[in-house]
Amino acid sequence: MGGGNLSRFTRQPAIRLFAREYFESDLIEQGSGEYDPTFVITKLGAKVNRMMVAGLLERMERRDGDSGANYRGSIRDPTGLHMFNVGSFQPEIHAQVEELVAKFDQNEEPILLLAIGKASPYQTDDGGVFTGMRLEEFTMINGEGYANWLVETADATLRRIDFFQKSRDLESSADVYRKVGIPDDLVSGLITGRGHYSSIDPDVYMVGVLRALDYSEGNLTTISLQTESSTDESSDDSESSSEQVKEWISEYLLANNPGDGVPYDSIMNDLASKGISRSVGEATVDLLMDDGLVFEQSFGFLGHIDSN
Amino acid sequence: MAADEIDDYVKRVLEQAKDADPEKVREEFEKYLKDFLLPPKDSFRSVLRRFEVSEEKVQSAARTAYKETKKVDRFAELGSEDSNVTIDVKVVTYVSRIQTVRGEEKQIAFGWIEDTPYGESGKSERWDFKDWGEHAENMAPGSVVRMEGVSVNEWKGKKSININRSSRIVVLEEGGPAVSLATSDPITIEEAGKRDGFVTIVGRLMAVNAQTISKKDGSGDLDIIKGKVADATGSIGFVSWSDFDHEVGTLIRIEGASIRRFRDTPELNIGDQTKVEVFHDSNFADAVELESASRLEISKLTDGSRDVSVVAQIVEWAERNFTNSDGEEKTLWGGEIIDPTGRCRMTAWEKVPINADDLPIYVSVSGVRVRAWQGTPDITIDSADQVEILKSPPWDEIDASNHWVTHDLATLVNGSSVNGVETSGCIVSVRSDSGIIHRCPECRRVLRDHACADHGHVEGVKDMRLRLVIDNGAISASVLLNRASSESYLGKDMDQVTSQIDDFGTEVFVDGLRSELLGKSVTARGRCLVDEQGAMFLASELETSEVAPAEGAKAVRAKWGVAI
Repeated sequence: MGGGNLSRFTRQPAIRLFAREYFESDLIEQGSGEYDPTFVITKLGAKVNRMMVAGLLERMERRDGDSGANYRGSIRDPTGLHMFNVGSFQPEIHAQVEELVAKFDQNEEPILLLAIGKASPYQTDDGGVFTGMRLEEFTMINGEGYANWLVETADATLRRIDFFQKSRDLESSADVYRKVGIPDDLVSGLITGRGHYSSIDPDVYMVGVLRALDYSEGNLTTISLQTESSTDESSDDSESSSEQVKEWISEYLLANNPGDGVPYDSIMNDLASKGISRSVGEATVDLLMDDGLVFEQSFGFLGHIDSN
Repeated sequence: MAADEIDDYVKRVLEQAKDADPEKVREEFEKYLKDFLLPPKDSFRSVLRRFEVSEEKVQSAARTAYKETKKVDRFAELGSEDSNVTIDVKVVTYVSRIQTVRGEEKQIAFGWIEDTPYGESGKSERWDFKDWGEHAENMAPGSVVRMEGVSVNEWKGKKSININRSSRIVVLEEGGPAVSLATSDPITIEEAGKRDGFVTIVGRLMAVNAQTISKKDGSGDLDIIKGKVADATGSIGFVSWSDFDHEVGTLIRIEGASIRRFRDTPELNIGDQTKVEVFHDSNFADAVELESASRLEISKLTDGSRDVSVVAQIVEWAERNFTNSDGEEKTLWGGEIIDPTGRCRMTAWEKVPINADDLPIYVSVSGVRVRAWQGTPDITIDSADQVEILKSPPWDEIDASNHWVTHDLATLVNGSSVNGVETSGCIVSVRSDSGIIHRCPECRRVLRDHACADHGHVEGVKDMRLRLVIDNGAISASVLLNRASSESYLGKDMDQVTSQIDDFGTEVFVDGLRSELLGKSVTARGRCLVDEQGAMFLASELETSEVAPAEGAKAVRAKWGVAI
């Protein structure tokens, strides 16, 4: 039970997942019945409606819209970025969020956040999916709290990796899955995902898990030298590759902006095809934004100042 | 940490923040590493920001005023000009249509909603609504939702609710259960008990009684047959409204009986459409075997069960006198009983040979019925012959003061009310209405704005509670700590909490609880109440986990066979 069609009156459970698993999802399920909640189905079969995430608060800002203030932010965990928003229709947490904005702006201390939120996927006209999160409840945590979340989430992810691998070679049928012991909360997600995602490599998520477990044990030496994709970090002069990546991003933005911005994801995908890991990509986008060359045209969509 | 790796990133920071002190930058990276478990790769952006903007004075922007929300409990409180309204309602119907509005095709929906969805008091009022914002997914008929940012519309003297695009609908309780249709393949009795709708089962007839009941409208009497059937997975009572001509001990197949619930206990309803016939299966358990199998454990008792047998240890037993509605003096005996699976209450209307001085006493009771007492099963003994004192204890004496039976969250949420249980999970929510509340002196309801829904403005009686949500990643449940449990958990009495809240406000109190509990693994002990509104864990104890993350990581590695 859980994560899918629940028995009456229980609220959706909070799926523990790392940023990468959520970010790489582009399968939205509106639910079998007309009134069922919306789920984002990850490559590992998690059906995410509510989620529990944590990480370093990297961006936090208030925007003023027609219906009131709303907020955007992002938190970074060992696998990437979670983008979240707080709507103008959520006045009950505005006071707490304002405090967070103030604290963030003061910039005195790094802020580690633990957040519970609802999957808030956004589908663009060309079928691209941007996975955001609408914040429901949050609190600032310390290193130990973060480490505990890393362990919990590593556990939850390992469970999904395990069942994903079990399901791989089986006939894609709910009964067959159940017979080998795949639990109810994963069965339908795995089947739908299998029909949608063309290639799923659980190793990519395993890297995140190992990293998280290492961090939580206080062992932070192993990480940066591991690369998920290819050549970037092992390459010689970090400065020149940084310049090259900046150029690639700028070129891509100038060539592909339909007018209202280029989705963050597609920039990353383009870089991935050139062998640049996501984290380097993200860091370079940030640098370009600091340089004033790249900006956010709308939430999750970037533009280059030189485009018309 | 490879020293040159930090140096690398220090260099990158200095590229951007030219005036920064390299020593301070390095210190900063080390602090992130040590205190926040973030390697330079992950903290780079944040460190950079600190050094780039530290020279500027950041002025925090003026707060924007946003429109005041009007929160109400009933439609009657709303005026035709009200907008930005917050109210909890039950969705009665929801119908989607495509409508042409100003030449454009829009998806709109309309239907009925009722206020006071928890039937707190008085009659619920029903209003029309129109949904302009495509909130279908959150408005399943039968569900209870909180609507925020909706507005009132008045037309021809009739008020209704407009749900706007920017309105927010939060599902508090999801809509009704799916009704299943019977197939001709029988299912187990245990499975049947969990369903709603129609079922087909095969079971041995364990009891049959003809009864006459008076019709509710007073138009006469009805002859019905009541009884019980059992299979290897359990037993279930039934009511037959038509002829039922089978003898005790017969194996029968019942096709297309509907499941109805008598309080919490499922029962088969054998009606005109139900087919009952004799079944042949030489492998089916006989009556004697099923009799002992029908003995229930305390954790499996449900309110409304009839004809139950239980073996238990009596922990507490006392005599009580009271005057009934006819003015007669009556005596009642009752107390707490326990078995390895849990604890509950037992009440006897006739004196039974249990002496409070000889406790613990072990008994076997049979043919008894189960009611509920504040969510806990209460085994009710109507005559002394239903009780047998056991000469030898069926188990080693259970220490009642520390008897917590561990159940995982899913078992509790999907089961029936049970006492003396322990479960664990993460706290994923601290409700904003935790803290000091006021209750109506007449009916104990929680007051809103000093008013009781039933009794109007009253002088409230102060009380304290903590409301949380516990979640294990696959299922979640509400947790409630009453005043005593809250005081025990907080290590403060209600007066201390009151002055804390008076000085700093409820929000600070709740935020403080959040920083203590949100995301933390906890173990809760107490009892779990399960009714139509779902599962509510009434915790008498709440303990946060003491496991250090490194230990936890080790356990996770071992569990999944991940190398160190």
